[in-house]
Amino acid sequence: MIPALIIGLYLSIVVGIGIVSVRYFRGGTADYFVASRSLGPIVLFMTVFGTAMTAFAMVGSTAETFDYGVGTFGKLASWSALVHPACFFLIGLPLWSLGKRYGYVTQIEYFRDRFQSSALGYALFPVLAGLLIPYVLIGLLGVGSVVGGVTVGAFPEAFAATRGAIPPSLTMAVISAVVLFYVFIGGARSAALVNVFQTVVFVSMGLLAFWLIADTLGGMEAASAAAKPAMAVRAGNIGELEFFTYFFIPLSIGVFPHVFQNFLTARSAASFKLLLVMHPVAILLAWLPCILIGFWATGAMVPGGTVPVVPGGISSNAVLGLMVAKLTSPVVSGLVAAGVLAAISLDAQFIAIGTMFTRDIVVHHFGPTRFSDRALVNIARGFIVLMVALTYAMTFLETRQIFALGTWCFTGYAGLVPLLLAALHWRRVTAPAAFTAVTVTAVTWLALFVAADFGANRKFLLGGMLPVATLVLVCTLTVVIVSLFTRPPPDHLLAKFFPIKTS
Amino acid sequence: MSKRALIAAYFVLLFVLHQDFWWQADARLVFGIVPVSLAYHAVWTLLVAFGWWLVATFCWPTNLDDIPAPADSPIAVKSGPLR
Repeated sequence: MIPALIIGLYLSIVVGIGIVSVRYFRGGTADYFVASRSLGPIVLFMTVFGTAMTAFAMVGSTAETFDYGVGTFGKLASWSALVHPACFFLIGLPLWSLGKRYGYVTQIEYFRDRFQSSALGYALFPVLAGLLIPYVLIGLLGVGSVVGGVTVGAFPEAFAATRGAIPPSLTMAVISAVVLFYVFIGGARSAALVNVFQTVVFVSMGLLAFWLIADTLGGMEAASAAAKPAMAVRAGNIGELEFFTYFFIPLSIGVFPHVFQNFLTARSAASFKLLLVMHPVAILLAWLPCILIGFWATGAMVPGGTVPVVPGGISSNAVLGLMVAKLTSPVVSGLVAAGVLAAISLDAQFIAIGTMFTRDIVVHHFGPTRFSDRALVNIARGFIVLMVALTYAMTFLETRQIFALGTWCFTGYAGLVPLLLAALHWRRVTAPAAFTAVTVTAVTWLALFVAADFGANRKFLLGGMLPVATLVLVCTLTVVIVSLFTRPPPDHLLAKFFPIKTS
Repeated sequence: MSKRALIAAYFVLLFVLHQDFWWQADARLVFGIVPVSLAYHAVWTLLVAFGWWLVATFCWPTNLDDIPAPADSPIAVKSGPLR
């Protein structure tokens, strides 16, 4: 009952922040979609970090370490510490500048203008929006699973079928409603303020769990000494080539539509400086405690006995929940569950889906003067509600494949990074190359996805490497070769997109 | 060698040093707590943050804020109160 109350309190605070943020809502699409491009460095950093981190930062990192050892930090967290800021600097900053100058709100608007091709936008829309749906789906399923785990036995009469736990379908409905509420009333500004709160909650709750678990296990030294030595090394847990090719996975952040929209909320270019420097530090603070909890879980015993905290045969996704539930108090269980909910931020994805539909389909098709500003905001809101309802309905389908789909979403987005980098930094890239690259990358992604048994084969590798490496290579080659064999872009177009000289 | 080239070289070095194959089978614990490879990657992450501080300090683009937004942009986001 106590964890359920704490989760309820957390959700009430989120709703409260949403209501307060409405006081700052300036009205119109500029505020609803990109918070009037007014966010300073601290809010930008916390919003982007909160959006970039998913439930995987807490639950998945602990589970992966339990299964494959501490190399999890190197393959996912430390690569992200390097690659994410690189994307912010090489992609986010120039896009922010172009977005401010030409009024872009979505990536597709930029691509259409950069390559003077309306068709390219229609080709990109299903790819970018389509990959967002499973991303949202994974978040919702994660929410249902976490809350179900910590509320077992809380409501034995009301929810007898789930051993007293709040059923995932109810949790997902409540979370969807809460996120919809503050997204509906305040758009990007509400989402940014909520994200600041969520980032503080999930980083601090991870540290709190780490500290209390270490204390119960007799201190950090005792906890590490009891852990399996085989999980302290990479050898035997992950191949060296596979470890290296995890470099490509965090590239996906450069193409995430919701992160692109976060970039556009920045007040000035200088706002990005704090984001670049603090993002790696925040990754370290968020991931290291959870990695060590996963490591300790390989040898942790319930205090005063010889019973392992994590019994054999249990899903590794339950490791964090079990470590917290068996080694701390119900209050801490509730706080950590709130931390996991805070890490699962769906607001930015919701807004991105609504924005893309409104701007890239409705405004592009009917023209910018066909609808009033108020009507455009309402169209975005309506489409968001429709997509959330559709996504919620999809959670009732078979879910194992959907979880596997997570990595494939990231792979798909990462595959398009060479095209975006070329558009921003290579004057010679051409529209036919862009169109071919989108098509070839999408077809290759689909072929690899089918070859991996629709994501069910979690260990699908090509030559010892993750499929994302192949996808990035294919996209790069397509962009370069087709560009060199097609007519260069006209001078007036290049003058528009390459006027900036860095110091 | 320019500051920009030095910083680029620093990042290339970090990129290479990420593949710490020399620790891959070493199960020693630093201070009896953190597996050596994990401790290495934690320090590596802080060195990355330092690298981005160098970028923000010594090779930040200077004129990104100076570009005015053209009023006649056909797809510019409307601003101001709701109509």
